[in-house]
Amino acid sequence: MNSVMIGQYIPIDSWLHRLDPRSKCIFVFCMLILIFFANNVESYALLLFIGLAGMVLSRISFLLFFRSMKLIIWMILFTTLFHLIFTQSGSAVLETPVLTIYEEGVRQAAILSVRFILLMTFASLLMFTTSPIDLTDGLESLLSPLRRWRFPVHEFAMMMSIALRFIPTLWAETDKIIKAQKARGADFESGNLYRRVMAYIPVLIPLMISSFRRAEDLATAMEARGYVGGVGRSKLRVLSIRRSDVLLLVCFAIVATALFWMRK
Amino acid sequence: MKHTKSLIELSGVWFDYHPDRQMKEQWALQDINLTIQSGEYVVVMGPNGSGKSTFARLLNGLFIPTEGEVRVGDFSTSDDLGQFHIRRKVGMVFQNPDNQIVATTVRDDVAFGLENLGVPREEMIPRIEQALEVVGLVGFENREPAHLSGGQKQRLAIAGVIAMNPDIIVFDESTSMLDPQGREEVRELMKELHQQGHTVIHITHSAQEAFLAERVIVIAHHRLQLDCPSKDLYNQSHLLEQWGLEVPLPIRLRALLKDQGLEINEPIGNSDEMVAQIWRYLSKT
Repeated sequence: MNSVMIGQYIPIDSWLHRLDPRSKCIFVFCMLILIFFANNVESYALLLFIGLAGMVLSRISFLLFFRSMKLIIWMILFTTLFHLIFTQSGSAVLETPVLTIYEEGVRQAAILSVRFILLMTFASLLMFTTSPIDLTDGLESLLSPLRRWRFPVHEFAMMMSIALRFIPTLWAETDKIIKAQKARGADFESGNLYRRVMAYIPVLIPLMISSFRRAEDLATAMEARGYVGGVGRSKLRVLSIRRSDVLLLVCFAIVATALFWMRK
Repeated sequence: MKHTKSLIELSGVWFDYHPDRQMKEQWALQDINLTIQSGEYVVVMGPNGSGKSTFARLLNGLFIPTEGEVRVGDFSTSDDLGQFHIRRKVGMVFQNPDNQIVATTVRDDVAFGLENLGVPREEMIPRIEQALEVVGLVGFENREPAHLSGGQKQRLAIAGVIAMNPDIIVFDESTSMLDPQGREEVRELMKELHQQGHTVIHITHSAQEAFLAERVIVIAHHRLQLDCPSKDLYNQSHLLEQWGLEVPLPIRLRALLKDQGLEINEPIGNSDEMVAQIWRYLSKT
């Protein structure tokens, strides 16, 4: 359960895993934008091909990608249905006494479904191949220009990494509190939805209180170790752009040009 | 770094969290005068709520005395500039092993203090390795803290402190939340650090741990009550009880045997020494 909670990083070694988190972030972010620019069969085919290539390069089993698709299957079904029913232009494809399905509806439904699948594929590729801490480091580095406008980039990254550090701790604690409440006769499994949600209040309150205590302890410990904020700090983790990162961005440039050329 | 003059000096220290709201007789710490020399191994003992944790936090400037002064080396904790130096000189290991680990891996956590000091990366790497070697966590570099035992977490916290190369290490009840094995590991480490020349200050409510040190300080009812070599402690066992401290079995036994007229005069440090003395006594009669 822990591994599900902390992002979905799959710690194996692959070309994609070794890339700099910054270049991966930029690549995926730009890809997500490109997906909305694509508007014909060829361009979607190209994007799907790139997604597929990414999956192969990540050396992660396709099954895991399929599993992540499960999260959006309802969204896909819903929008598909929505377009099939309500989009009414083009020629009719199917006529039944209850509703008529038009060509444009089918087209829109297909485009949206493919877009969802592509979005999920690229997001999963990033999450699967980048450890949360690398992701935080990468984001800190990418956002650092914002410091000029007094955006607290270092504090933001520190918060993220402390949150990551404490997720397993708090998860274990939640588990312990649930058991303790069960031992006192709490019932989490029966009743309607409202009842079940309410049953978790005696879990959440002790958890909150102990989190505040932890936060205070941690702040004291950080202060005792000389933490005074981001100013004057050095860093153990360094990010380095290598040849493969350049290669990735070159690939992206080619794909982007190709897509604009294919666009009608 | 050996100093001839005292390393830590508390003079006329009074402290309270809300000094304006409390009567002076109820302040958390009252009139503490104390010096600690470089290389000493001191146990600070006291019942719960006696002010001993507050005392610990005065040593590295986490708390600033309401009255009086705490000096560490050449710096005063009341001085803003001095504080940064003091934080580097005085390392602190806390009670809860979970709540003092900041980073997501062992290596990153040891690095945290060094990063705060702005140590360059090339210098950081050997210092991290060295610190992990001292506490015996080599090979755990990429582990997540959640996957460590209590004793290992506490050793990690110690590594984070010793990487910063402090003169003084304060243990604020660092053994109280550990299982017996973890406790033993941490105690061993304290002894080792002391032998390596660090000044060790161990805050505890367990009288048993007092024997590990050379010098015992008792804080009770917000005041310094006793300051003596640990070997002198067992003559004071009645006093310990009076302050609500649990008297360790060998000490109580020795006092009782003495009351019965047995001639046990040599100092004892632990139960083994007690057993040896009883044998010696029995073989004489």
